Amino acid sequence: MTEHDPLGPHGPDDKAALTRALRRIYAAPAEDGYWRALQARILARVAGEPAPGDGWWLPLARWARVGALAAAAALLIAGVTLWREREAREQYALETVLLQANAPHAQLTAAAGATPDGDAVLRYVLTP
Amino acid sequence: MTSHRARRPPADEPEPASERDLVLAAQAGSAAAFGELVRRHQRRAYAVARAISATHEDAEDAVQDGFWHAYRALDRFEPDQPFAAWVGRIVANAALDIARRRKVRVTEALPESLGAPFRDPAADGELRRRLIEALATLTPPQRAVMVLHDVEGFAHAEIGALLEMPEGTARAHLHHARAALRKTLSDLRDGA
Repeated sequence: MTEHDPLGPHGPDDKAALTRALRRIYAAPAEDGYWRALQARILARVAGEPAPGDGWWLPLARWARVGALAAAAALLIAGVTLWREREAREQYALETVLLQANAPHAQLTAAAGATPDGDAVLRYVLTP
Repeated sequence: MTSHRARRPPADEPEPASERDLVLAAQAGSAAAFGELVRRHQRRAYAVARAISATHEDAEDAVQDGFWHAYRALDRFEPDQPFAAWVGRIVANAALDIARRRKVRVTEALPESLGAPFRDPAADGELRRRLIEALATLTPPQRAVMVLHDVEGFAHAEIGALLEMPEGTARAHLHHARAALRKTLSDLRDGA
């Protein structure tokens, strides 16, 4: 069946009759007064709404760019601060290691390495 | 599709504003411009809503809801796009929402409520009564597609866009709706 086939069971006459019946059921009101009243009701309903170019969020939107720039600057500052703090922690850790290198057991380890039994002593010192 | 064609103005009336100008003015806050858009498109919007809704009253509510939603979303509408198609989709969605909310009640009351209050039931006779009963057996998409196509004269592509379904699906709904009506009404002449 195609969309042009007869709608009713008895050919084109049925289709025309059915279409007429459908149009009577679904036809829109014809009176101009009805449409004026409907238009008025729609406009009365939207009258309580803010105008399309006048939303309450627009003042916020105007500040959005400033806010975004401020947020980006804050992120940059925070990133630099974190990076510098991390660098300081690494420096401190390095200095700590260097200081520990001068500790007595390290000297003992170094001294033991110079003896013939150095390897055995070194294993003894380093074994927990 | 002649039922909601725009009125041609007399020669001494000023040339009406273009739809794009009206949309731009409405977006800038002109209530008069939005009112003119409503005047131009409310009949078509009603036709779309009526095809989906079970009753005239639901269709009317859907038109009002649809234009209200359209007004609230007007900022996001691109003025170079066809306003009729855009508002038609919004009204169709509003009608579908109402139909979903009232599904149970509509199912119970469909044979009586399908008739619009502007008709004389006695004038239509047996065909009308049987047709209303047959329409009640269709699914809402089948009924909407058939009414939009056969009564309002919409093309399948328009129907697909309005009801947010592929064009092929709209054709299939029309096919099944006609087949169902044919089956339901098959004994009409024989029984008459």
